[in-house]
Amino acid sequence: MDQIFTAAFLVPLFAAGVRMGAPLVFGSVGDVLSEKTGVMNIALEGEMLIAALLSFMAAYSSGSLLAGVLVGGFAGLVSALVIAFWGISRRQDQSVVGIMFNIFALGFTNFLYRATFGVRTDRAGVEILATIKIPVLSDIPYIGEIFFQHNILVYLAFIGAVAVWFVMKYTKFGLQVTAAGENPKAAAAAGVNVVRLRYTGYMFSGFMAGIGGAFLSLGNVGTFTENMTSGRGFICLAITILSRWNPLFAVIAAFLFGTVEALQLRLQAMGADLPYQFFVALPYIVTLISLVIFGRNIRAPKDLGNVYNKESR
Amino acid sequence: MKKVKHVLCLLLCVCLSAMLAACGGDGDAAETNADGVRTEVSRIAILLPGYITDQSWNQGAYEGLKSLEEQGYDIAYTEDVQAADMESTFRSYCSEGYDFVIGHGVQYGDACVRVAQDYPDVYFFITGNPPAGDNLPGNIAFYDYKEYEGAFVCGALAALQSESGIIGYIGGGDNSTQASDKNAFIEGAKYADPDVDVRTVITGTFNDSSMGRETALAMIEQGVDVILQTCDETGLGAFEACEEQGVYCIGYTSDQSSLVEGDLCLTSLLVKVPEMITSQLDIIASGEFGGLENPGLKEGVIALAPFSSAVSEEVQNQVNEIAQQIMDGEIVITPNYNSQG
Amino acid sequence: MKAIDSMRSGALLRRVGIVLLSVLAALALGAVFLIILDVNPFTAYYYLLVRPFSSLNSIGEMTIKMVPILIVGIGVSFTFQTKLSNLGGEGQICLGAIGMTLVGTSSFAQAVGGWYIPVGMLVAALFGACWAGIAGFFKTRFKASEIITTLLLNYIAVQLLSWCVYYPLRDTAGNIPQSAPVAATLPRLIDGNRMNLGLVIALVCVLVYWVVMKRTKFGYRLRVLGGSIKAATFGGISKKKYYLIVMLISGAFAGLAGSIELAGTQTRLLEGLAGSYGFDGVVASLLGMMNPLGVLLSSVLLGALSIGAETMQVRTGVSSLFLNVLEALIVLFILLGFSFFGSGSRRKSKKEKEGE
Repeated sequence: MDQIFTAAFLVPLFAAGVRMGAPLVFGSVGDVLSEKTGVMNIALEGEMLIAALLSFMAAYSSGSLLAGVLVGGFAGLVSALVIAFWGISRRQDQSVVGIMFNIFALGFTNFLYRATFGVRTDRAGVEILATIKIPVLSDIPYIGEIFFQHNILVYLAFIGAVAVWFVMKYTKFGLQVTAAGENPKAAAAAGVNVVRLRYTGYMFSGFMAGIGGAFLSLGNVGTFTENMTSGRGFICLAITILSRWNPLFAVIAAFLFGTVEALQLRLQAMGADLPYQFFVALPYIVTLISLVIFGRNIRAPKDLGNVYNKESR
Repeated sequence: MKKVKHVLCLLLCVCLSAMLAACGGDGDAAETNADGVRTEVSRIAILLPGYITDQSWNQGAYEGLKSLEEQGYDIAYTEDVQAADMESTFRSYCSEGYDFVIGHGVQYGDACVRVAQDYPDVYFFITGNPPAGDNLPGNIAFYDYKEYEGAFVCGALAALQSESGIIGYIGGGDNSTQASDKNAFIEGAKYADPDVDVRTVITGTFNDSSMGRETALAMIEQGVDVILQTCDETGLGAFEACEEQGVYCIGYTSDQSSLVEGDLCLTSLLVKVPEMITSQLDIIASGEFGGLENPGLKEGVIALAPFSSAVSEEVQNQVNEIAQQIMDGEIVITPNYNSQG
Repeated sequence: MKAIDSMRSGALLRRVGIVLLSVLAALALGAVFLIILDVNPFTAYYYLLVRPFSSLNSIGEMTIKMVPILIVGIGVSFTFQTKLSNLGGEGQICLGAIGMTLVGTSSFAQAVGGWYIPVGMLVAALFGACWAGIAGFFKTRFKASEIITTLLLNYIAVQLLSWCVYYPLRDTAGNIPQSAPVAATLPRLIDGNRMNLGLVIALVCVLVYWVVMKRTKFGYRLRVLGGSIKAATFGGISKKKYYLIVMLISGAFAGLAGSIELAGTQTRLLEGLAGSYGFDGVVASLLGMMNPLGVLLSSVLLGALSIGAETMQVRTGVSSLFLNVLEALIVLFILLGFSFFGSGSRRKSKKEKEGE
């Protein structure tokens, strides 16, 4: 216990929490906006996985990490567009379409990765995104190390969250988004194009998930490994709810999850005498409990998950 | 109602004709049967627990299989075979006429035993120790290689190489191979340097490379300066972290030094998976297939890859001596398959 | 009477036509992938789709895969009827399997032999129900989204099962992390074929589901609750109570599926036993539009695909992961087909029709 409550332990722990939480921020902030318009993005996992591969492929062939990240975002956006066609235009059940897309993505990335890179003994890899120390801020004791010594995507995750929060709270567009998710018929009557809004929200969510996927391949390991998202997309969904559909809270919730994950690794390494399964399950248990504690009696967007049908009254 | 009947009739006809066609196909497969002890196989299949691109345990098996293909064998493999699909995958290979079917991992033992009883003409091979029970069919061979001997030597190397006196082990799961590796790594490290501090983490996943990176970073924070990973794709992430932080690492299964920049990859704990598989064909040819083999460092199935230039002559000699002592039986390692905390 | 019959058969024909065309479209798209892989699509599809039905043996294998999918699918159909989603099939299967193992390896089972199975199934159903009940309780008490809680509970259940096989339930003989074998396995229906009693149980489940939904007040209320029947009021029924009950029911079904997988196929508790049955069950339920027969047929399709994919891999070397692509395409295209050409082209109206 003495070892834990020291700056030498806590500062890197929280820094790791920020690092591990950042991909989740991308996924959940996008999903917050999407859910606000009334569409749940169950396909986050698949979008992230496809983006992780495509961003790596783009970065590998072009040699530019920036191109990789952009391609990742674009891949997520296109994936979301496809799903949205089923879920919004064709009014199919959003969860089944999302689940099927996740299944598709696992097979598709496997296919594409093999078709492009084959089975090789050397490693097709790129340099990972460099750590950028923000001048001045990174020199603040403790805080600097925790928040201001990361790669560019970590900062972008924060900026993105704040931007979405601002747009949702202070712009007309934000009001329309909320209206579309709460009562689409009334919104439509007031002249809002609900279908277009839902498309926008969903595709934005796909774009963000794509950047999150690029984070995994280009920010963490510099290569693609099969099924490398390992369920992070689903965690993003939990974070969305935990955040009460507030992008700023989503940052905190993602940070919480990342920190617990980072903590369990450190506790294991320190030789805590418990079965490892307990540690692996710990982040999920904590998320579940926090859902109950902080998420109780929250109200989801009223029309979330429902199909919107223009013609019906 | 008539229409429905019509459709049903049609469907029935289609099904029947498909059945007939398929039965015709089955005929060819049966031809491969032979009497007496089989000393030759031609069609080899393998069930893999992960992906052939993991540059480790699964890819090694794939390469072994590829070399057999070059020798003219007919090969097939199935990736990521989880418990729910084990038995049916074994069965589909058998019923499709494969005569040598390999389960690549200790977890396939039970399903294999059940299938082997139904297909006495097919040879089976499990790269792990046999399940409990005494009525194991004679057409299965088990290969309980002493990977832990290699892990012991790696532990010694890590302890000798470490400057901080803290070394780390990252495992993917805690199956018996992994648990015995972990325990032997600790034992070997303490043998070389009784004061060494060993940190271990089980990530619970073999294909989450981001998690592997974070695990290694967490260890490095705690002062670890040599890391052994035995977790396939998760381990690739650990290498990335070692590269970033300039920390030594030890590879697993194949010589992984090319995956890490410079001389940071000290050596690799080689498990000669390709040879493991190809050697079975000679055994089949000799007519003495079956039972349990228990090879280790001495037999060359487990070995260390060439040291990187970061390992000093002195340390190399010490490590080689420990390996020699194991081979000579002067150091006897009792495998500990139980994972504690 | 005649008129109604012709309408029904017309609708049936139309539906069959839509499904067939959608599957064909999906296969055509999948063929593009196969051609890139340099595999003859016709050969591959023969092994994928025809071969599973070509012999009694492979039909038997297919039922092994189909049974858990079907039972989980029936279970989640109950929740979908009320517009709840139970995505926790995987976790509930794990819990069911643990329950079955506890009973099956006990001294009680040693004493009574095969008769432990019904007891084990009850315990398994109870375990599964409790696990789903956690999500149900959180839903009704704290309004926590069941989609998320069931997903989270999956991760926890997988680790719980892992812990069980490493520590308390580990077979002391042998060095493999798995439990001791259960005292007896499910009886097989045909000698030399792996088809087992689980199939009968699964079919009974379908029947139970049909009876409950169509013939009982409880089923009627579920449909009212889900809005598939328009009722003037939801007179005096506590929504919360029903939400909790359907979660318990669907968990019990998934637990039962776990017990059948354990006693029928695996005989021991080991990691990875739930496979993809959890999500497959959800797909089967939604693809079958929660109609008993529809769920049954979808499960047959999914089971056959999963066996067919193994054969396809064996014969043509196409990775069985390709099945993921194809399965997704098939389901998505079927959905698309119905959305364009389904009767009234609106899902809701279709559901209403089937609900009656």
